Amino acid sequence: MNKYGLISLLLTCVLLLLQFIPLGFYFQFEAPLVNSYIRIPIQLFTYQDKELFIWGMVTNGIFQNWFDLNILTGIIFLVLLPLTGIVTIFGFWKESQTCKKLMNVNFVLLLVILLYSIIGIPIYSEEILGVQFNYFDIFSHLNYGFFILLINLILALIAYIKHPIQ
Amino acid sequence: MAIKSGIFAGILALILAFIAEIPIYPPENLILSFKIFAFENIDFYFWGHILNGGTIITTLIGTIPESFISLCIWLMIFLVGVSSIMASTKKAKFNNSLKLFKINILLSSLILIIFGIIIFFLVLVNIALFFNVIGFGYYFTLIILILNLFALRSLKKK
Repeated sequence: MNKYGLISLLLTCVLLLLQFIPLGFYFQFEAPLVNSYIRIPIQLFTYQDKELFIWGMVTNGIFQNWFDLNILTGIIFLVLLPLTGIVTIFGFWKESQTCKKLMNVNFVLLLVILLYSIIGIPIYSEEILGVQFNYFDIFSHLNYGFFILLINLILALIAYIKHPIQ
Repeated sequence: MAIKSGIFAGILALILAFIAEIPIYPPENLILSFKIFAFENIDFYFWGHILNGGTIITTLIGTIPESFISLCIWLMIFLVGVSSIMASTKKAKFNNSLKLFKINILLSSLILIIFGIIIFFLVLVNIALFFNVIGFGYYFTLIILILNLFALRSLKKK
């Protein structure tokens, strides 16, 4: 079993399925039964009141799907990232040459997603955010999700290099 | 066979990393709080602190170096939790488990020493307050350390 691959899979799931990372859980006898004191945001970028997640964009609490905003971003984020997760599920478990190739695919897909988020988002920023960004403007709007994606990419590379083969 | 004390230590560490409080007997408002220590209406947890039972502050997200230090301490307890469980499973290799338990003992001792020093300086004026300041989180960290020591001993016996 490739442990780095497992951690990469967990990070992919966090980015794909959550809006925030809850910490400091407490239980109560009214809805919601489980709540948390701290919510660590995991959006990739934040621009004014717009929060850009992997699964869509939230503007003042209103959710918009990537396919409604920009089809290419939808394909990159909403098709490639789940594909990355599926590839990692099959890749991390077995110690074979084929699974090592799958871990390589995981790394390449994550690299494409990361590169698109720093190159593609500024290109389509007028369509997505209503403002045309210059290439390096995006770096002043990074949020925790971007760094999680970066850590995920590094772990995917380590997982590929250190994948055990029997 | 899986090492039960190691798994129990891992679960306890993960509870400390993520959970603030668990209700024991709600009619009597009996709550098990996982705070490490409390001082002047501030409850300190691994993930942040609560001021006057209302305002919640976490240094996990914020300015460097405060956020970095808090993140390191939080990651320490999280790592102790995950590695205790991983080292206690049936399929774990002996040498790896041995290393992990030693790391866990080191990290949980470090956590206890860091918070022990903080608590010591907080109650320096009145040492009698020592046990009033310490919360269940600190005692549970001590239990995690003891359980890891037991787990290491039972691993060596095998």
